[in-house]
Amino acid sequence: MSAFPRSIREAAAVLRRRETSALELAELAIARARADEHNARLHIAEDHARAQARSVDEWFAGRGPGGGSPPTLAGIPWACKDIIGTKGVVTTAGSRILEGYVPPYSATVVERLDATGAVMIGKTNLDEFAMGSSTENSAFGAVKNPWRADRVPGGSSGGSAVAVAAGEALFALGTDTGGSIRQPAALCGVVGMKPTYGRVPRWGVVAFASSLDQVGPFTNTVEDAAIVCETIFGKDERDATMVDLPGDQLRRELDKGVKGLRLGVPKEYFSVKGMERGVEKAVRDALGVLEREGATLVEVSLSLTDHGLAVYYIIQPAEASANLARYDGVRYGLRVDGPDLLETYRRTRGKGFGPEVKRRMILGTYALSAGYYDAYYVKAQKVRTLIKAEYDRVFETVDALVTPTSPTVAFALGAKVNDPLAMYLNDVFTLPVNIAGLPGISVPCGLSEGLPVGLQVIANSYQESSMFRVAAAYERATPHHLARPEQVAA
Amino acid sequence: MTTPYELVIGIETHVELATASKMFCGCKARWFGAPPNTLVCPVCLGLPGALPVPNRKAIELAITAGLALHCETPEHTKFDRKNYLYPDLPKGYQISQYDLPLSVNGWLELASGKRVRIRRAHLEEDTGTLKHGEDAGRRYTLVDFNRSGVPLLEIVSEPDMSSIEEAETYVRELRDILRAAHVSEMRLEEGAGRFDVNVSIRFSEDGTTVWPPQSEIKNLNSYQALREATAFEAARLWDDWRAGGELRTRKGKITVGWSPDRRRTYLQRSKEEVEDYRYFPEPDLVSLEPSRETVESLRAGLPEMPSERKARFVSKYGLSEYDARILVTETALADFYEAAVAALPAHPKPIANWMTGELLRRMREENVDPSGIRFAPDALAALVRLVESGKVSGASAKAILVEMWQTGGDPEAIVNTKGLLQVSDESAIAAAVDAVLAENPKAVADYRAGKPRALGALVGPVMKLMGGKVDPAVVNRLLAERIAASVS
Ligand SMILES: [Zn+2]
Repeated sequence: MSAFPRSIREAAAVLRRRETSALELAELAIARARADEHNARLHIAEDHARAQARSVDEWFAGRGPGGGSPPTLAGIPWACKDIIGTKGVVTTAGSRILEGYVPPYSATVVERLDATGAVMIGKTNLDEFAMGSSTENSAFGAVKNPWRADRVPGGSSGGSAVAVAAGEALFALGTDTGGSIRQPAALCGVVGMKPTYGRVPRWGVVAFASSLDQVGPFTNTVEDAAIVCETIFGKDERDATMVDLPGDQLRRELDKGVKGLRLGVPKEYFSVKGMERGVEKAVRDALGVLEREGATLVEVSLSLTDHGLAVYYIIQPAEASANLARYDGVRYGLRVDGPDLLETYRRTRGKGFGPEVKRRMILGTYALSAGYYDAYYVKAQKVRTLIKAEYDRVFETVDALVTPTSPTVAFALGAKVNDPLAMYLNDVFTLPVNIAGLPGISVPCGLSEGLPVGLQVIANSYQESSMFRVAAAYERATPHHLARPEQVAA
Repeated sequence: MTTPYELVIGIETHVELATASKMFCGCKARWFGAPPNTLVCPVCLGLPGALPVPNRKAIELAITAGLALHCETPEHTKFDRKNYLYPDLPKGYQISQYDLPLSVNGWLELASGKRVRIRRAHLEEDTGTLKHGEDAGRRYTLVDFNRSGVPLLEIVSEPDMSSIEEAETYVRELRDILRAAHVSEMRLEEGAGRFDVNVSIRFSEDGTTVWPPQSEIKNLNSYQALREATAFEAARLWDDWRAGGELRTRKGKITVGWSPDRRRTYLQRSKEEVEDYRYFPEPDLVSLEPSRETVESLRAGLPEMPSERKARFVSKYGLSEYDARILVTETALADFYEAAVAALPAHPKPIANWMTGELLRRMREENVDPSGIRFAPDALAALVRLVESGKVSGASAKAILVEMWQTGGDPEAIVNTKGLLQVSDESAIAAAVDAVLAENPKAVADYRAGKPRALGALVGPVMKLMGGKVDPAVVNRLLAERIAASVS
């Protein structure tokens, strides 16, 4: 085959009809990854991918492990954000401090995908330790948006978003701590989904902010996202923060449509400073589509939305400051020797971490320090509880919330690197969802200035099925998810 | 020894819990003696992406320890991160408990009747160990993570002890309790129990009470170190005060270490260098809420504590305080005793005497613990029965015990094969008595002259002639009878 499939479902069907082999599909994905001009890749795991593909072909030939027919994801090429640990395959978190680090074990999500026969093509670029909204903070160079080479892809999972948008993989995994899946999905015009906190195991995922991090997929379609989630969802005894809920059945409501659903439109999400008119228009149009499809739109108020950013920028750096303390040069990763222990720490960490990571560790250390802890960390946790409670109240009256994913389309490379606050504001619609631990998905809803805009659907905790239902209904009613950057069309 | 000051001592005891696996991973917890870095995994090495999963057994043991120390178990507790950088701490933070420990407000009653209050007991993970070396003039440090993540219980007392003896008694009794409750073996020689001693001095000067700030002596791992370090530091504080030293102006506590070789403390951290550990709730774990049912079932499962058992031994078996304390120090020893008493309920005291005397002496000489005794409690009871019924003499009984100790043999069988049954045929004893009397005319004369003690010197030779298999009381009686008879 020469054309890259447009969805997991399509590729799975082609593989089942034996029109192509998993190895051929893997070779195609490898070739496309090698031809990537967006710096989306940190590592292409060619041998690893070929070995996986060959064993899947055995499986299709009836010589698989324990017989049976291979699952939907068997033979599907995918790309992995380089903050998710892969046994035997280098995992850097986009940082010099982990350059060359090869984990001795895989993350649970990777184990689960391996077991289904999905073929991992390689590791994708990201903001260092997932700290950023543009993938410009990678120690290994910024990622370019395939829609326009002078624009960012969003972040921090920029490489994963680009891998799917540019047709280099059929799905990718990212991590979302404050919007790091949904925002780049929106800016690259693909589907990106962040699950309810506690539904996907964090075991083996390099920790950024433990109470906020969650792994999720980038895909071409809503159905594909649900397919991936069905594999990666579900309790793992190695992550003590998980809920005991099965992950199957996520596709059961995909075709139900939105007729009769009440969709909340939070007014605060449309009155944010810096919201682009083109983005607002695309999202308003999308709301109109949902209404025509039979949903009832209800204006709701999430009055604490403004405080989300402040809460997030206390809790997230606080947790990160502790999570990143282990990179001390003693056991793995970069080590720059000094004349004594303290100097070895200083040199190793001074050289190993980039400026944004250092900024957040300083912020977090400050917020946790004696004399400031109550005023910052404790207060932030209190407000976090209030934000959760506000969402709980809203979900008593609506089935899901529909909002813009990001206030802007992809901005220019370099435009915000020296203005952290402007950069942080790009996540104003996504990070409250992490604070409240809710599931959220971004689906393409048209273009503004020739660049993609995302519609965010947020559901109550563990209600991914209704979230997929709304997103799928919108996707069916519009062609926006089919739009692809011109470079790829050829 | 009297001092011109009063001692005020509080102790933080770190105890390794007797779990099979570590606190937050499945690695083996018995690290002592294992080759370096062989009991490790991503969790206890702090690899990227590893997450902690709490060890249920460790939590139960920690609650049990609290209950044995009369603590309350709060309904809501949690784990926190204690942040500091050191090479033996793989994550750069230690998972511990800060403001909501598993156990609070308990006490431990010393033998003297004094109660030492227990402020709190919290669960945490141990660190790795460092080994310093030198190679071709270059100093290096190696890290062993086998101990990393081993469950530790930190038990914090109030500053209720006022002498070094009391401090030592407290830690010894604490150890007895934790061993009895099967919470920890607390093998000090394996580093499974460490003490931080907070010591300060209080005295009167110019009619007012002066109580300068304390010193915290870190990481003492033996009773001897505890005694010596506390004595040294208290004396040092007093000398410093009298010499107008830094103690006169110091506001906060200092932290010192103990050098057993130089037998002195040394400054580790001054008041100004106090660390900010930036505690915050561990986001990788959910809060810990021990159910009341769990707590009550752990309470119901608590064995009798050594102090209670000792009191029962005194009242029920008529033992001396001294003997009872020796027996209850080790649960297995006390169990052995009670099993023997169950087999011979009529003679609890002689059984205790045999155990605290001959048996314990041999155990100590050969460094054998109760599980290493080759014979059963029933056999000890059988031996005591032989003695008490007059069938064997005390001297024979000692020989039988030696045989039992070495071979684990049954006392009745040993008596038969060795012919140690006591001679009760008085005519045979009388013949021996007559022979001895004939050889000792002076002793006989002395006895007749009103010195009854002279007779005692003759008992030994008679026993010797009879091979020890006679009752000394019978010999004594016959000696008196034969002398009297020879007069008439
Ligand atoms: Zn381990």
